[in-house]
Amino acid sequence: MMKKKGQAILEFALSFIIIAALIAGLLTLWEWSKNNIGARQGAFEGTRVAAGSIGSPGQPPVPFHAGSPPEPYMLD
Amino acid sequence: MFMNRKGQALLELAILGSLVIVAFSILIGYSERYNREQSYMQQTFRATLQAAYDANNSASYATVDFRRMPNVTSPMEIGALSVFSSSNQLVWSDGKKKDGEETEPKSYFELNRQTVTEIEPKDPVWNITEVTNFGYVSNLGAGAGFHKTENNNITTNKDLGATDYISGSSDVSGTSVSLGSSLGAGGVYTGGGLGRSTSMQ
Repeated sequence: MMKKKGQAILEFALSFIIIAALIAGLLTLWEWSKNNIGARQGAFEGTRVAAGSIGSPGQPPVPFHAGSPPEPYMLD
Repeated sequence: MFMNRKGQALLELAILGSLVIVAFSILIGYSERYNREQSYMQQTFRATLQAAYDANNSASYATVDFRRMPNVTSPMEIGALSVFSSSNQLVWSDGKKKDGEETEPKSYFELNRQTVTEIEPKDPVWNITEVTNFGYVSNLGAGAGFHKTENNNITTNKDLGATDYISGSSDVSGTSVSLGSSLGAGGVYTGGGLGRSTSMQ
């Protein structure tokens, strides 16, 4: 009886660690994703005056076909 | 009795495992979708800004972008096709003639950030661009390979090669625009085909 109880606790401990790691991974991924949206919007707004200045057309400081700003919060 | 319990634990683990993979898949899908959508909207706004300055008048810009999304549950299979559309309209003018001529509002339709078509404005005052009758056909071809070599050690190689050609047509404010783009690296339709491979020893 005691042996079975011990096994249950061991199994629970092992599965708890795995599930906690997976949930932490999901939350980290979500945080990274939502931070990217804010950071990209910030970078876009920050270059808005330069993109809309009179000196910009022809050779705009921010090329109008430029890709999105780099991902600032990469997962290490 | 013991066998029954073992079976139950395995079943629970299998169900939970697949649920976690589904949760990751949904999360990555939403993340990719929202981030790409925002990026495309920003690029469209910059394109409109440039077009309006060039015209010294108002400009409207409508874009459609195709993209293959990542397939989280089966990475060696091609992901679902997603369509992103965005549009902007703005005025940027100093109120003067440009090169001695009166300026006109401009309208553009751009597909996959490659093909820009100038559209005759339907309403010269408000310069509204309408995209209607938008239809497309995706012609997808994909081949996957699995190679396992057993020598002193075991090496497995998986690879995927995919081609896709999207064709179709659209009616943009009375102007007929034909579409045609090939799948490229990263799931974007810039041509060149999509391929990926993994190797494990």
